[in-house]
Amino acid sequence: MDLKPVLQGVLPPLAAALLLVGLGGPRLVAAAVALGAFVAYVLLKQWPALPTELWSSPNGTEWLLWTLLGALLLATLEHARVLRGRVALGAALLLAGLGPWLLLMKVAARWSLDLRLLHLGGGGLAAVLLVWLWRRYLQRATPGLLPGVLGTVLLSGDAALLAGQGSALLGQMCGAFAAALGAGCGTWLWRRTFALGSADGTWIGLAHALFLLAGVHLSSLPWSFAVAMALAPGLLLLQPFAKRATG
Amino acid sequence: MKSLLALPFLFAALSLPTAPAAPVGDHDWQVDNGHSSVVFRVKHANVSNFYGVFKTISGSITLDPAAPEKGSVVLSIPVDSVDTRDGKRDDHLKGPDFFNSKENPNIEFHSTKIAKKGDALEVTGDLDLAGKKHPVTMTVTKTGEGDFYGPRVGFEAQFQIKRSDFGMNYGIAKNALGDTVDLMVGLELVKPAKK
Repeated sequence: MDLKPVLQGVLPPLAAALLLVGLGGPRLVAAAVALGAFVAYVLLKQWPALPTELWSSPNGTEWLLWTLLGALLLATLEHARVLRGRVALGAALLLAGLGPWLLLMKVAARWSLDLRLLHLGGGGLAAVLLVWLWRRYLQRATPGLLPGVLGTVLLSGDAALLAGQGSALLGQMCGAFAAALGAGCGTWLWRRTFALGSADGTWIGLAHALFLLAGVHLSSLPWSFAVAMALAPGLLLLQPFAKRATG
Repeated sequence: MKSLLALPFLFAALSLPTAPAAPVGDHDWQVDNGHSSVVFRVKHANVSNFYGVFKTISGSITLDPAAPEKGSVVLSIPVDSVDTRDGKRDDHLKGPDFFNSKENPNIEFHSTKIAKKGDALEVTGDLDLAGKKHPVTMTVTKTGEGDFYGPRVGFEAQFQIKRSDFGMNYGIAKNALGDTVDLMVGLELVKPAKK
């Protein structure tokens, strides 16, 4: 087995996370994921077309990359307190609603209005809910390593599912997100502190939603697998709410 | 904030469909799919030549033998018709690692220049594959003509493309599949049905 493609997808996010999170702490985890995932995509596939070019010549995989980079930028700005409160939440949910529309722009051009409402509307709603849920979970979870580890496990699961169901590229892209988050968590070993903020819920929730949607609509991931995977973190996310209700 | 939940449906309603158009003219021929073939060949693991086919091709060709430079060739191949004798491999080929058929359901060729080259024709055009357009030139030879339930004429072309030109670089790095793909296209053309 040639490890080169695997290393191209994994080494850049690992290096970016170890460097940025190692030096600057977990508030830089979104910036590290953005840098690592972008370099991985360029090495694995190609230099992506700019969003301005994608308007006239859409490409779902590249819209996926840019949308998630947008979510990572929002998270970084929120960590830097440039965006706060309702503005930050509103921007995150707006991007989540817009994400499936960008991702499926080209495919949806051939759909009827019914299908567009179902897949883009339903997908957008799912993305909004997942982002909201992750943000809320991270806001209420006990600060520590657990949420980061859960996010890494979740995105690793998505990556394995995508790679096993028809698309190495989508699997490797999602794997790059998981690798960067996992490496960020790994900095706990010498920093002795690691905690995600609610801002990170924006990109974790959106990556989870959009990678699964991309798997279904751009690759051959069965709906049943995608829905089961999308719902899986719901059980874990109920934990702090349950704790709050009983406590 | 709850109104944000309605935004996905607004975005969905705003996306608009597009529609293609088809040419009509004298000296027109159309592809007889049942007697035409599209075969591709790519090196596997730097060891053997692997062959696959596209089972469907359609298109219209305008060709005046006296003035071939005024002609045109438009061909369309549905990606979903790819057949490599392995359903799982075909699904992989249709996915984002290769053709990305859900976004780019057809491989299209539109000629931009036709020139005589001895007994053959040199056809240059844009190959639209996996969402990327790239110019290709092929030498087209006439393989025969005759009458079989109407006039027919046959052509054949062989040419090479680099799949990396179309953003399909899966497996190139580890030599699992070669970058160069040979394409062999055999066309039997019939007169389009008059309306």
